Amino acid sequence: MNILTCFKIVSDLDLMSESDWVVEDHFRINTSFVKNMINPYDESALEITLLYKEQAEKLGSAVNLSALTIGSKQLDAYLKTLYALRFDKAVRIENQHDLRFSPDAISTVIANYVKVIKKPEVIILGRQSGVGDNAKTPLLVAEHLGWPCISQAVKIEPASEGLLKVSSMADDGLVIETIRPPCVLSIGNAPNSYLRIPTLKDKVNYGKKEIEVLEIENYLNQAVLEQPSEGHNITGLKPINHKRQGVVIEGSTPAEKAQNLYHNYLQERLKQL
Amino acid sequence: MSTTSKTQIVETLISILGKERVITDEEVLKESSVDRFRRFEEIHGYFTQPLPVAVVYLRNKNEVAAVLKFANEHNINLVARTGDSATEGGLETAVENSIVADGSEMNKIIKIDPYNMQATCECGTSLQDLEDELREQGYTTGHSPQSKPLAQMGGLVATRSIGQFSTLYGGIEDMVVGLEAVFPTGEITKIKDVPRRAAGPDIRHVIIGNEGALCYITEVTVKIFKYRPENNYLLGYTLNNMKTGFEILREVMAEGYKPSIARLYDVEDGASHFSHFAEDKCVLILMAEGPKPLADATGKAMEKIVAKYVECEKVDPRLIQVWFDNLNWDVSKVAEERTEIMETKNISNTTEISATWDRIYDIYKTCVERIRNEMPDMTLVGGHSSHSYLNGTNMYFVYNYNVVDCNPKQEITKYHLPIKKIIVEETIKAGGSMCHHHGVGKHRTRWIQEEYGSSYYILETLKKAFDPKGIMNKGTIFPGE
Amino acid sequence: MKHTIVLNGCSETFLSQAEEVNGFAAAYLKDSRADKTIIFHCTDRHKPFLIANSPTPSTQLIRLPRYQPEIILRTLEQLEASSNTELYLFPGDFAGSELSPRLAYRLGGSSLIAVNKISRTENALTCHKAVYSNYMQAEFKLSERPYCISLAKGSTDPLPIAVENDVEKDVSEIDIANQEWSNTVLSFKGDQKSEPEKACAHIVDYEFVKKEAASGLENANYILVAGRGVKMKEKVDKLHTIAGQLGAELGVSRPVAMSAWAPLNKLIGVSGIMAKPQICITAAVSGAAAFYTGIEKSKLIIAINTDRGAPIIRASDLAIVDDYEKVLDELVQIITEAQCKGDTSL
Repeated sequence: MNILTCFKIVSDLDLMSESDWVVEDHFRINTSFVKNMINPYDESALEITLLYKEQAEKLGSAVNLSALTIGSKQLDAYLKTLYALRFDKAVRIENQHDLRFSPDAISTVIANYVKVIKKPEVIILGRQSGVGDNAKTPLLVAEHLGWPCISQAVKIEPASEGLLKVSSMADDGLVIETIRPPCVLSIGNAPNSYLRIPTLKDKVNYGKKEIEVLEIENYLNQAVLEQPSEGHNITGLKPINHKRQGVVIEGSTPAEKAQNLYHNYLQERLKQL
Repeated sequence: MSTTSKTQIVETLISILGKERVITDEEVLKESSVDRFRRFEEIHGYFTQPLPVAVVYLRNKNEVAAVLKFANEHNINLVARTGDSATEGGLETAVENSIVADGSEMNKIIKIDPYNMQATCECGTSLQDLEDELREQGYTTGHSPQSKPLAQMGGLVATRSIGQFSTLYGGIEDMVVGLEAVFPTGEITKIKDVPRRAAGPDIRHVIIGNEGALCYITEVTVKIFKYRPENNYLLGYTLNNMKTGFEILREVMAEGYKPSIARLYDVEDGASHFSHFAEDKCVLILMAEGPKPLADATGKAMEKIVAKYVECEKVDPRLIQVWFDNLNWDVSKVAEERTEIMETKNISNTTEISATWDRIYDIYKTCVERIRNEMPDMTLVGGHSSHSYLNGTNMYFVYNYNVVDCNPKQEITKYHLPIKKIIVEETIKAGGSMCHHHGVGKHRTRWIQEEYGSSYYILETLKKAFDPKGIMNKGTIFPGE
Repeated sequence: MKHTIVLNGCSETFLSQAEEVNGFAAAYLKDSRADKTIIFHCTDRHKPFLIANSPTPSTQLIRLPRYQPEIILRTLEQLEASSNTELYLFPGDFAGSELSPRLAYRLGGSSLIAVNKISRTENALTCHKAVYSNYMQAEFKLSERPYCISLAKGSTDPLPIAVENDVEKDVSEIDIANQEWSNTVLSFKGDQKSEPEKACAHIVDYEFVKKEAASGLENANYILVAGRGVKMKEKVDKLHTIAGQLGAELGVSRPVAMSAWAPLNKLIGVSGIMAKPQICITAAVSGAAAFYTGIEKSKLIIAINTDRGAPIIRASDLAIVDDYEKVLDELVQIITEAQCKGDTSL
């Protein structure tokens, strides 16, 4: 089975301080000063992919893993890590355009790439990533390809005859389906939240394979690249104030304070629990 | 050791402290039998050390004296504890029927005295609380170890801790003005707060760094400094070689400059902090602080020194500022670490040593190479220098590994200790010190005599004099029998 | 504008979906004309309940064997192909956020997930949503109709569906639940496959495990936390009782757990539980960093402490500077009285 796992590298936004949230031209925010990381949902997706391969190989079926990311050369370090973890192919589609709020463009690129290489039967992606927070890419990849999509997937296991057993969260329970590829799997809050770490020896032995670098222009037409968010344009951006106010509830007696707390703040909220 | 039964120990402790403050709950005892050194075992639910007989919460020096006296009279091992953030096994209860004597409830800031530039607090005062309180008044302790959100003053003094601004403010030993400590006989001793004295040896150093193996620290007075972060002059560079980095650090120190931060990361260690701007590069960070004219002059002079080294490329100070703002343990990350270890079976440990300028690079190079070649399953081997002195600097080795093909209980013997052994032996062989700022704990005691050489006589005599029965934190600093 | 609401009646969460969307519509769609509510459902048994709680006078019921996005999308696509609805509104649950962008794709419209506010402008729908991991609020203009949006959870207060006895509800029904379909495995017979059947031909086996009611401190919506300042075990026991009376779960800070005044599995903070309740009340907690990280994700933090300078006061939303026992005793009394009067849903 051929699996393509797509991932995105994002800035660790928790490291930004309040004064760093400055909106620049074109609603850009400079986050280049903070560390990068694999988008957490995508990190789960990559680990789940590796776990699947381990299990499938134990059952004697061959699995070929590819990893795909879209962005600049800086991301190659992550792709090398994936080689060290025994991904068979690591691909980067070079891009310098601002595609933060363009899941339509991103999903088109992925779908076109898949159509060209004709390979993967299974595409695994994290459900959302924390810059655009669009939460649409996996769904739209499925739409572009006309494949079914299982969202909120949390576990993928091999089943007989090239089938997959996929567990996914529904709003009121857990769905366990055995499905026939091709399919798109969108990873939700999976119990595996960390990607395993390759040893230095594996980095030396496997991490030096060449990364396949492709040009985004070959997968998306120029008109779309110039206007990637056609249909939903960003027109405003401002920081959200998360600071707690520490409002002291006044009253002359404990009873008064409790009354004040209950009637002004608690009563309505309790109803909603 | 003690012939007193568990029941008798507990009953006596209750008679001294009352039932509420003598804890014998098994879960609490388990948690209290280890520190971060054994966190891999602990996260996997294994507790391999003898459980203490009780954890007691002490509220004042008289209670400390009464409990120590009782333990001493009945040969009961006693482990002193405050913030519980130790990393070297210093808080492990190595022998049966130990008492864990917790001072975290002695947490009053007794006096902040801006006129005399000093602050006095009880041993259980968290450094973070003291620092927050001081900063509100425009002052700082100048002490900023990574453990700041968790560590408390008693433990920080007992382990000879050091902070990120040590190159300017010094280690805790340079900050402590006076102390109060209780000895095993129940003797309460107070060393007064004076600027300096030449009235015999400086006895503060019997207490600072004793790791609970000689006495119990109950109160500390430290210096305070004006807090002027607006004057911070921050510099960051990328470079190719650690050797060049050490040369620059040496030159800055030898020329007589006093940066508050002087840090040099190698490629591997740096990758976990700086990969977004320094891929495959070493990173050098310098900061000057203090009164503006002084900070500016120091900053500019250091810039000039670094400019002479062509391989150094200056980076946007904002990159360094973000790193700096996130330097301390973010407590939520400490919590996440548990999940990460559990899921990945990958753990990160550290060993910190020091040596003179002429030896530090060789120690660094040899250790890193040996660990890479000799140890299995390594995922990161590297380190940084973070505290520089006129005659040398430290090296903080960082080593991560995947724990595979063994029981969680074997993590220490299969990986952690063999790695520590390489670092400690190479360092001592080269004439450096095997402990720079985490303390000896319980796992470096086997080399303590080599560390001291002929001067071990002085150290050993302290133990004989102040804890002749050996009831204070058995196995810490001094090897057990 | 004309809008249509799409709800998942197969789920037990139907009522909260309906009230969520109803609240949102009341806040932002006052000038819009509600076309209908489309409700997917699995069993006729629930029909009266679904109709009664449909947020609009007109309801389109579609019966299918189970919640299955591929079938729902195929059905919606066909049903709405010639509709002139401008806005499709989905709730902020898993179902709503997977259906809305896919439907937009199929109908040639535009979509946005986790929208917390909308306004209508000429030829566009202005939508607000949190981006940058909730650090920023962005405004987007959707310009391709139909607009398919799903809501951000908790962005507007839910609004119960008004009961209007004199208004006749307009209900139409479609049944695409093939007799051969069971609730667990979809079996296909004959050569003539229907559209919905084709849409889920990839599924060979299906099993649904109902979610256990989430329990324990990690999942609690309402917690009461005892700190070091309670001073003794008996007080922690009393707080346990109070928590019960308030309908909250009891947690404790590290000093309390390490004094064995409560079991270690009640410990909140580093090395303990990271709680994420809607409401967190702390009693005699000072607010050390190692503890605070365990309640940081709470929606509302109410601190009760005698010390106005305690760090927890600054880190809370609401604070009462007083003796926690007296305040909580009063609060229990108020809530008990309210319950007797039927004031709250507790």
